[in-house]
Amino acid sequence: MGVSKGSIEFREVWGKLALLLPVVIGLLAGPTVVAVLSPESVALDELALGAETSSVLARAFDPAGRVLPIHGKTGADVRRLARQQWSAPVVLWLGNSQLHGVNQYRPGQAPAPQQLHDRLLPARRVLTVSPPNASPIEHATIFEYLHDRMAIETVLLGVCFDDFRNREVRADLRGLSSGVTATGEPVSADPLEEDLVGVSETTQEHTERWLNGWLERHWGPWRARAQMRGQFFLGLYRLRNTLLGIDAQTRRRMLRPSYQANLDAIGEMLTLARQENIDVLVYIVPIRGDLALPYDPAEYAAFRADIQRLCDFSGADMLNLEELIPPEFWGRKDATGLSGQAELDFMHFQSPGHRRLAETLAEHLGPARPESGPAR
Amino acid sequence: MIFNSVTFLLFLAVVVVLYWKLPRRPRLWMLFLASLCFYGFWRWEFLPLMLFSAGTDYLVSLRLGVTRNRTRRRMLLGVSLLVNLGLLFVFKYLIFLAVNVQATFQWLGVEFEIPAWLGNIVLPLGISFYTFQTISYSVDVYRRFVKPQTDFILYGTYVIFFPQLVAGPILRAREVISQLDVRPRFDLADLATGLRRILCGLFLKTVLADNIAPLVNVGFAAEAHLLSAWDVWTLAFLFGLQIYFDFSAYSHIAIGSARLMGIHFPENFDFPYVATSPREFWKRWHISLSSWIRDYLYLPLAGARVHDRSTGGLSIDRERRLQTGRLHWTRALFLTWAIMGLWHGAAWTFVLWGLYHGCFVYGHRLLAGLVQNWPQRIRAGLGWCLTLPLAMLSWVFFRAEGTTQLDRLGQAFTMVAKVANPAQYLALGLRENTYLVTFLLMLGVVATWLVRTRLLPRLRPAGPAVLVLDTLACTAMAAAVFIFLRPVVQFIYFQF
Repeated sequence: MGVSKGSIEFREVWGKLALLLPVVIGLLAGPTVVAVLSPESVALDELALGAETSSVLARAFDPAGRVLPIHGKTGADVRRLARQQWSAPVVLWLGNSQLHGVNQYRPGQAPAPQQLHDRLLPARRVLTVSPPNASPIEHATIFEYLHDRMAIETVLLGVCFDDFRNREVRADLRGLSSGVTATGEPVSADPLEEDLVGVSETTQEHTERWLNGWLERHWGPWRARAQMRGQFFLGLYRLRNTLLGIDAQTRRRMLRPSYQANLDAIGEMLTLARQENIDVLVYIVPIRGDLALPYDPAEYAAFRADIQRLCDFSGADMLNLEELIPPEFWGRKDATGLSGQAELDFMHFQSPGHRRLAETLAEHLGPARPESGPAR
Repeated sequence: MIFNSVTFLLFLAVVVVLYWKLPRRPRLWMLFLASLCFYGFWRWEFLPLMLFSAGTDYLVSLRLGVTRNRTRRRMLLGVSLLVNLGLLFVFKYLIFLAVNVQATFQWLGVEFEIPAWLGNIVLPLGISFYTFQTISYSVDVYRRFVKPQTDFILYGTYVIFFPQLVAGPILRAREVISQLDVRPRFDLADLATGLRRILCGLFLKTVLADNIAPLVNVGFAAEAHLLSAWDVWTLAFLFGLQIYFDFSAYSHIAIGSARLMGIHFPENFDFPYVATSPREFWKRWHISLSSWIRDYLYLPLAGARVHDRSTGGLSIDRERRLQTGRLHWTRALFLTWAIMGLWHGAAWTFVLWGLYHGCFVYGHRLLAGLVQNWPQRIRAGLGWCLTLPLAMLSWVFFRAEGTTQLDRLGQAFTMVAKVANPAQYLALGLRENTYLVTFLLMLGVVATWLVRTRLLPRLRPAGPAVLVLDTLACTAMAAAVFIFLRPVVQFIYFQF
């Protein structure tokens, strides 16, 4: 049976269209779907804390009534702290989201850094940096940046076993290693900075920065891309937890290479502090004690012993505050999976817990050093 | 210019439109200038170097075209090799040589400082690729496989044609010059394939490779002695996947960009991780480099007479093979692999990586005969089970890091030694996600290969099922690329 020429031509054209259509539709539909789903500004940090825990930063006021930023979570916040002229010696408090996460928060309640700051005034200022899940490596990076930029009298270092599993230094804190540009200006906190690493110091960096800047100014979905990346990974995280049955009580292993790198970082930090005549108080952070810890008991015991050994070696003070907060002050957090069921929170507690933490540390800090001078 | 950027997508759109609008001469000039512009977006100051390399081979090949005297022809070829390899040596290997000479003298008790300017030498982007391309052109003219090109703009466009300039595929003159010379007819199929390849490449790079990078970086930054054998295997597989996604992404985008102009580049990757032997692996991985090395290095080193002009592979003169003997071929094999390793980077770890593959290929040659009577399925299955982990393990040498050569070697050897020690299989030192991601991605690679080779051929082309699945896949990839497109990590092969 013969096939007409027209039919062959039609098949040929249809074959090519069938190749082209999916990719053209995909190229149009993909970004459209993203644009439709693009979220309003979502604080991923808050999302990670959960609905029952609020992020509350300490703050102070200068004599003119202007807000003084005394508590931060990012590299930009650290730079802001360094730029300020502090009239009193500084107590630098390095921790994780425990310091700014207040469970069942009600207006007027203050996080521990605020309470400690107010207690120690006017003899000392408490400046706090608490990036979520901050590892000792990140704390050491922050300390290295700040130690010669302000008159630090004491460092309070909260160590948490969980955070020893992290080894990466997040991009905004990584920038602290260099600190300033060639012209002496503080490194910009431009969110594009991280995106353009692959073209840094090339001619393309300028066009790419300009084009992205233009797109961000004129196109909402383009602006929302960083948020969407965060939500994408959060979605994957929840999916993984659901599929593998992981929740807040699932046991977390010690990761030997990261653990060792973090211990080394604390060691280096303590050495630098000793050289600079800065006192250090290392404390093991409070953790929920009414349930089995989500760690291997032997590994957790080794962690305690290692911290004690490091402090003994370098002459730093050490406090174990694991059991400081009674069970009734601990809260619950949003589901880490897709089930939506709230889970027990091992890290964040309510306002009375913050007060207790501040009181305990204030007690251990004692009065200011007599020789402490004004800010450098 | 980096492919995974808004700048490149805009640049490509403008070039493609102009390409189809302009007549021949302006079109060639446009491509030539666009390619210079593409390169200049990295560093303008290295453009003269690239043009000098290309210009030398242009002049040499013109002289070769009119010279009959054998000695003079050899001298002309020598000039080309001297200039190109000289540039490569100065920019890529001089500091490596200096450091090794210093270390040797230090060992002998003589101390001296390396001049500071040596440490400031910047490796020009793509020099390893365009040097090989120009060398192949001169050698092909010398072998009389191609006629010298008199039109410098046409020749120059072949050498610096932007899609392949920085990281290949390494092209042969006869594959491309005629396509650049005469514009093919516009074809919807080429447009569709081009867009698809670019989309696929951007997905592999921005969504997969760049998101794997932090896991790999953290793993290789760890002290090697604290890693377990499982960690080493995981990191080897994960880096193997990262470099595959990263490099094949570059090739996809290069091939796709050229295809938008109706120009067909040869394939550079073909699912290398399903290879059932080292030989097959190298027929599927960085194909343009493997075939270049074979045609311009291995066969000449082995003393084989090259007499076939086909691009499908130059055959070996059988008589010559019998004359030269097995030892000669073995020596050529290992020398070729050591050079292949060194081409990738000026470090002993790369040389070891090359020699590892040399041993791998040689071992396969020795053992393949023992199983040749086994059923094909068993041979293939066993071959895959051995080839995949051994190929992956080689990446440990490739990726090892450290501040000195010794540190890198130390890390590589410590890691590789772990996999041979049963006691090292009792612990896990990486984040759980690292194992999970590695497993899922490897599964994804195999599944994609099965879909491409087993499922799709059974479905009716252009049928509704294929159309719907294809559209969904393209939409998902485009959405993901939209979210992740940013030049956050350079292509790994940019450093070579």
